[in-house]
Amino acid sequence: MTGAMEPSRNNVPAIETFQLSKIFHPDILAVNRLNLKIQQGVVHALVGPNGAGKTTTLRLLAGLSRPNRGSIFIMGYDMLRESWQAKAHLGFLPDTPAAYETLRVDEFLRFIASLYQVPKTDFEERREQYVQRFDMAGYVNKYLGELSRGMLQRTLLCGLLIRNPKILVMDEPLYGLDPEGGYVLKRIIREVAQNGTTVLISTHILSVAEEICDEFTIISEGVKVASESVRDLREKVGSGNNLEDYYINTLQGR
Amino acid sequence: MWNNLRISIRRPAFIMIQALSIAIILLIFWFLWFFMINESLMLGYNTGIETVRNMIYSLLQESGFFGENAIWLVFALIALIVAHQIIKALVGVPIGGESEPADVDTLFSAPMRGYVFFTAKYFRTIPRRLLIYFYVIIAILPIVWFFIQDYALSYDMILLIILLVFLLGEIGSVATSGLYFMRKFVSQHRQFRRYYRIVFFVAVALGTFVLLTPILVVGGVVFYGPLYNLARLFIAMVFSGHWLVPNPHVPVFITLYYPALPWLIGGLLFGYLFVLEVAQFLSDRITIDLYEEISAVTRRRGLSLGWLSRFPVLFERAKSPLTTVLRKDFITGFRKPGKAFYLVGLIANFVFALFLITLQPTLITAIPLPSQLVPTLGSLYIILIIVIVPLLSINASDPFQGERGTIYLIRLSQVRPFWFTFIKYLQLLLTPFLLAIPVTIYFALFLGNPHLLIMAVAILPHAVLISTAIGVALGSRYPSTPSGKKETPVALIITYPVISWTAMSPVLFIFLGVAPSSLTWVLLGSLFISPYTLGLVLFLLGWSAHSYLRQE
Repeated sequence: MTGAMEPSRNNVPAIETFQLSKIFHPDILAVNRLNLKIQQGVVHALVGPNGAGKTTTLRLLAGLSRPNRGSIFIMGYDMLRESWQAKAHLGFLPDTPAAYETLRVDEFLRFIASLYQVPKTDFEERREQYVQRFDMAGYVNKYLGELSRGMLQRTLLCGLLIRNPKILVMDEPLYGLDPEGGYVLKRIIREVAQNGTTVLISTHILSVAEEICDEFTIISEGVKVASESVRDLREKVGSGNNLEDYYINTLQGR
Repeated sequence: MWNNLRISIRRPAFIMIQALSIAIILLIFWFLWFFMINESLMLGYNTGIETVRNMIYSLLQESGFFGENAIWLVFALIALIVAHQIIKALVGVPIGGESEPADVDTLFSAPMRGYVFFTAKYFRTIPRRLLIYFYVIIAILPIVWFFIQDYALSYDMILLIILLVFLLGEIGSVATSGLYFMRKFVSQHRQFRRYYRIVFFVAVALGTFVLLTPILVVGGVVFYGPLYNLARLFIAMVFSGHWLVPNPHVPVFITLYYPALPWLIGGLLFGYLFVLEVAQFLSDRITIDLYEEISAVTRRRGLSLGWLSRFPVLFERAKSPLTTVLRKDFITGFRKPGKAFYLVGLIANFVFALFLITLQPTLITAIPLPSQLVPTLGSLYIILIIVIVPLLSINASDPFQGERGTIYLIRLSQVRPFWFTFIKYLQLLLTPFLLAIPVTIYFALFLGNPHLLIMAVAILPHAVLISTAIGVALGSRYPSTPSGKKETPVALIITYPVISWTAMSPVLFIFLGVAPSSLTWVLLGSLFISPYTLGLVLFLLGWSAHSYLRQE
């Protein structure tokens, strides 16, 4: 997608924002001068209370919403100026997935593969792989409108993963998944990260962020409150404390 | 639970605008009635209104705006509608369009150029439009055939019906657009709710006055109210049919516009198709979002494209997954419940056409069928009317016109099933009958022949279907939940013959030659067309007022 003559982008941050701001009508400041820098191959969590601006931030990053101020770079591409290239590297999973209810699961996966021009052999291989891993073999001929929330979430995840994007942006990806599905997803997130894919998730479940993420950012009322690596946090707070303690203390200390 | 209902269903803005829209539509019909339709009913009593109309016509002709040919009046109407569509496109009222919610997350996050999205959506609408016009042509085939036999007026009939159908579609479209726009406006300016309330009550009072006033004399000019005229029309239809003399203006009108018919029909179809597509193309909410996004990019590049920024597709370059999106749109569109409606409607119209063609000699010579059929037909009629209520109670279509979540809330609420069913029943019948009445009356009275009047009433179910089909096509009248998708086609299939039969029954009785001896049935059938519908309007207005005040 990016062209054969393009310079290597191995060293650029996967996601970078500068003074990112989003105002909703009439004067709700959902995201306020947010600076993010997430390197390639990192699993990053965006945590914060309800209404903190997590979903808005992720939708801005995915190019689904336009910022009022600031800029976004995806693999070095400006999302506003070079959205086509930026979006080619990014896969987005919304928090409340809207699906084509009258498409079957297999049709949806083929549609996504065709939309992103995934080679047929790669598609067949990955579809087989992820359908098996998400235990969806019995659902491939069902309509998306017939699926439960958890199965729909798995289907959309399959759609993301068969594309093999360089960046995965997922809004509350574990919401709606049963324990088994959640376990599989967490393993997959770690695996794709080891293969160089950057993963940005928003979550309310701090233990999950602590378990699978390399670093996290806490935002509140659209403002970045703190940003740490999990390793640094563990060294900082000692063995008796965890991300939950740090989160509460950080928010209370604002 | 009641709070949920009030908040989610009885939104004051929605209710108010709904009532206003109905009042506006009635006022438009009322106006058309006086200045376009009412002529043949007036007979000796219409000196005042005739004078006013002649003054308006002569004024327009003398000003040279319409020329001397009445066809310019039609062209002017078309021009007005085209202008309206262009204005609507520029203003960009969000009316939903062809995009699906899933398109936002799936397509907009994909590396896809704007033109791919727009082109795919544009292509997606074309089959639907063609289907609608095909549907119209099929629906009027029996009537066309009838007039080819006796009057050789096929082109005229096609013109009239298509013109009326798309005028009605426009009225519905204006009402829908206005509803969404005003709803948004009211929601954003709730601090002025006192004034909205005043406007609401004034509209209700005016609407009620217009509906209920039989005759109004202003400065010596006599205005006949729609209720009065409808009553006269149907009484005339039922009792004698001789009150309606042939309209002396009809031959002149036909002579004048006949040479222009092919151009007019072609221009009408293609012009309307094009303008409507462009308007929807530009007024779709998701489209507008994307336009804004892309225009922001052009601004950042230092370009100022002005209104041209609404056509970003012209300036973009990309590899095209067009066929992928088209294929997806075809599959999802084909599987939508409305398709079942179209299919059933088409089949039913073919059956109806065959029925009329087969019985044509009998009908034309007015040979009554065996009278023993009458009790059977009457029983069938009663059963259908009684059965329709429980049938509609399982209908998943949304009686509150697109307010999603209604069914879910109703099920959780304490609303008694009877009242819910009753409201659903009334509301489902309200819109198509309201739209069908002027079609029927206009169609009949313009030609001014009692024999044609009967045929005009016979077109009522078709008008209902056409109007409903357009409504379904232009708006999202049906819920998109999985359960709704499963239930809606079945409900529509059930509803179609019931509504058709309800509308057709008086005509059938007359055709069967049993009108004098079965006047009760005929009148009962007529009730479903005129005072009944007006009663529904009043009921809805009253219910709206009640809901509005409860909310406040």
